[in-house]
Amino acid sequence: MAAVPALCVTDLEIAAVGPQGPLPLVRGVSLTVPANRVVGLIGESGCGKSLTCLGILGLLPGNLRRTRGEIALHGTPVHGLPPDAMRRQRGQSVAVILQNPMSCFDAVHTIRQHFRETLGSHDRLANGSVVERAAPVLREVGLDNAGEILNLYPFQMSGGMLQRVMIALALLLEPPLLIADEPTTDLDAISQVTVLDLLAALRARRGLSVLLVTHDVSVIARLADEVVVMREGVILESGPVGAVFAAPRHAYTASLLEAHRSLDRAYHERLGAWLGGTAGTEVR
Amino acid sequence: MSCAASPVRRGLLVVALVLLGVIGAMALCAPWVAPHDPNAIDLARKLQPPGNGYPLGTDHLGRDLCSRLLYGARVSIGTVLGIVALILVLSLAVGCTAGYAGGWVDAALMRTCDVFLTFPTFILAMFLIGVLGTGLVNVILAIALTHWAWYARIVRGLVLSLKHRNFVAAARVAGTSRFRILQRHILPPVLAQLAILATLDIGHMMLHVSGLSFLGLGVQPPTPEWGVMINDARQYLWTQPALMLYPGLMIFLTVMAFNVPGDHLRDALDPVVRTQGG
Repeated sequence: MAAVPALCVTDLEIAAVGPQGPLPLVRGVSLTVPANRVVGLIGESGCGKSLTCLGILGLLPGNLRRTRGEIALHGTPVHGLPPDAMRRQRGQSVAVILQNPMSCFDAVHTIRQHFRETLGSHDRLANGSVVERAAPVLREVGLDNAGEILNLYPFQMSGGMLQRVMIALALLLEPPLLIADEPTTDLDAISQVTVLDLLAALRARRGLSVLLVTHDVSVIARLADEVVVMREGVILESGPVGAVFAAPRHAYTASLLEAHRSLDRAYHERLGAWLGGTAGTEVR
Repeated sequence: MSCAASPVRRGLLVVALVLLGVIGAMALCAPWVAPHDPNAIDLARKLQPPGNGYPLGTDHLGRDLCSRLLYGARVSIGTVLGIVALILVLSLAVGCTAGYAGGWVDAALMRTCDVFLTFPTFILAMFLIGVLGTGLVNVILAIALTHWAWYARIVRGLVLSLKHRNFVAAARVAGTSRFRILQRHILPPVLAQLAILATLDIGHMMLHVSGLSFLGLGVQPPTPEWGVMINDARQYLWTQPALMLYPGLMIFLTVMAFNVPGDHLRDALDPVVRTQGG
């Protein structure tokens, strides 16, 4: 397939600029998100996953800088764009959903005002009212009564609902690429499944490309086509999920998978013991 | 407010709010309510006791005390509102810029604040009036310039804590501009805090104005201002104590009327005080 990839990062280096000179934190990261694909970026806390995302979005904090590398969104280079042009890219060509949905909404404003803000930031307020624009995306994430939801304040909703509202906000401007930074981290198990299924459905329906950042192996296994394993600012290996998980080439990937399996094993042992115990009492 | 407010405290709040309303009405309606021109001198009627169309008597120049008190409310409240407005504008501009920009901008602005914070306010205000000259506008300028630095620091602190909140990050990744984020997500909570601070400080500033006027550095004598009136009445303290008592009482009541609601506002909005009180 010769389609233009949704995101192409080449040899990205991000460094902390200090008095002792630059200290590289992300070193030579290259990754590609092909159109209509889900690429999982996995790694432990502090390995540079989120920094890579911030670098792609042009939102690095003041003391960090992109010292090398190129970033292209849908074939157009975006590194080195002036801040206002980069701001227009965010939300339109690439949308982001963050972890901890409870804190991502300003408690002073209703959901309606959040939608209005996102529309207004991209001069889209003129075409139709907020309800008209918000209702279809809210329906798409499974929230049917838009009129009611728009009037709610963030603290009147559950975490799972808010995460779905955040996804709706991300879809509002129909961006072809979605960056999901730990989208399921602070949600309960059922909401996690709902959100992951929703992302899978959206990808199928809208042809979305997704960069899925997480430290949860099972999220990658459920949703991603390809996986990129990252540690200490370097990409260790990447490839199709099945191939990497079946035959990890790097010891770190293997230990990551083993850690996940051992948790799973412990769970199944306890579950087995508990089921055995209750089964015993029932028989008697 | 339902929490800590005992019936007594609640009653006090009602009294203070009523008082505030009365004083505000006095200030607004002075030209229609006052029985005489506050500056009309009639030496033949000087130091009259209450009565004969002079509800509270006359001062040493035969001016109607009651009319001067009513017009005084205008000057005092007007001055203080001017000061507060100026302080809010200055401190919001400086505090938001410093907090949101960070880096050397922040450092430069905060060191400027430090310069203002090092001097005792009253001395600095007197110095500024010495440079600018006396008069109503200069009093407003002097007091605003000596007090804005506290507010600017508080605004900066609030902005710093707010700008790292997740909802600001969410707004940024949605492509919202810096100015819009400041206006929609940062200013509303900052303004709520400032409103409490300002109501608590209004009384303090009113005393400042009256103090400067009493020293002859503030509002100038023919203008009916409570501090000026106390100063005028000094020589008659033993013979006509009412001349000093009434303006003093007005200052006292007005300061109280601003402080009590300020206290309540703080208690109602500050979760720490609320749990202790409840």
